[in-house]
Amino acid sequence: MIVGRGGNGLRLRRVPGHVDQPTGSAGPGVPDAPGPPDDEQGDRLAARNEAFARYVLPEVDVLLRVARTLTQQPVDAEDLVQDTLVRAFRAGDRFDGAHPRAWLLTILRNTHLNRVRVRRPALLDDPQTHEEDRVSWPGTPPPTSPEDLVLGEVFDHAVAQALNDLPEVFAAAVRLVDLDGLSYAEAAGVLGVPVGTVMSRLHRGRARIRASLTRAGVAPSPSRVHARTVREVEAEGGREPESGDAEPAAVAEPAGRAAGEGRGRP
Amino acid sequence: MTRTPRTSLFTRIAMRLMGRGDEASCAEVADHLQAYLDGHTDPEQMQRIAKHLEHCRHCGLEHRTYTEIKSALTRQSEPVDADAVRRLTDFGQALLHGEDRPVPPPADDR
Repeated sequence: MIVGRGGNGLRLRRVPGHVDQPTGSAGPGVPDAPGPPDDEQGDRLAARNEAFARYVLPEVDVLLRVARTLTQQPVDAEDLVQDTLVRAFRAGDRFDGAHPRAWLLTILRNTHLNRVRVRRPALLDDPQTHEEDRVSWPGTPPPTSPEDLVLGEVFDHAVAQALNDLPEVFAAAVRLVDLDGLSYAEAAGVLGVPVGTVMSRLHRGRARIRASLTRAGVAPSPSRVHARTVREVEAEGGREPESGDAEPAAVAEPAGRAAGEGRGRP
Repeated sequence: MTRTPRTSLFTRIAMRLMGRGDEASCAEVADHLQAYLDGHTDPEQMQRIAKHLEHCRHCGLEHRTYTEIKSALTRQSEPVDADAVRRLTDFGQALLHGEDRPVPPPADDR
């Protein structure tokens, strides 16, 4: 229900399922609680608020950066983080305090999947089947111009182009780790795959970029032993590490758990 | 004038290619170079690779190449929109203080 406009120009609406503070009224237009909450509910709300303030709010910039990678649209990224904040807020009292960023990133991922499922269900197919899909990455520099003929810039442009040309399955791993600064385990949580799979995709993605740079003449050819490694990686084709070979992601949630908010205390 | 014995050169090459107890081989470096760059190798392996990189020209060149690629990728990252971070932080504070949920205008309003 939209009830007015906030001070920052954003329209306001009631948070679905929002539980009012245990003390006092929540403000105009908000129905009063039916009665004073008991101690248990008060403790739960206090734990939720503490977890939210302590673990969630400081991570807004990280969430926005990763959301930008997932959605590739700034507006969608902001909406996604907003929905993630609501889910994290509701689930705060069930969070056990371990690995807060991983917990948040799992909520972000599940929220993103829910949004995509509603909008474009076909995109939820196995990403390997879309390996040749090409995506444009915001911020990709324009093609080399005469003014850019400085070695460093030429190199950076070649890297950007190579990243842009990567199949999305590899590009996502590269962006999450190298551009967004996530650890292997955090990236695994965002992608919903084992850590070993993230390593494989990341290393193969970088190896492809490295090969592109050699073809573009801005990086040396690899020596025989290193070229062999690249060839072996490429020979794997679309094969991913078996789940038994890969270290499971510390942040991965069991399939089917609603939005991943349930990890932590029962 | 002293001359390096032929076996010494052979030994050095063999050590570089096959590795030895405290130093990685070229093949080991090739297999683990990216994880090494990301700091995802165990301390012992990290030392073995670092020692190999001190003197192996081919592996050193590969190490520098991947270091440059990783640095260039990091430079591709654009800073997050500070205004968006502020709006979202305000939104989170509104949730925390039990206020109504602020929502951005629908897409057709923007």
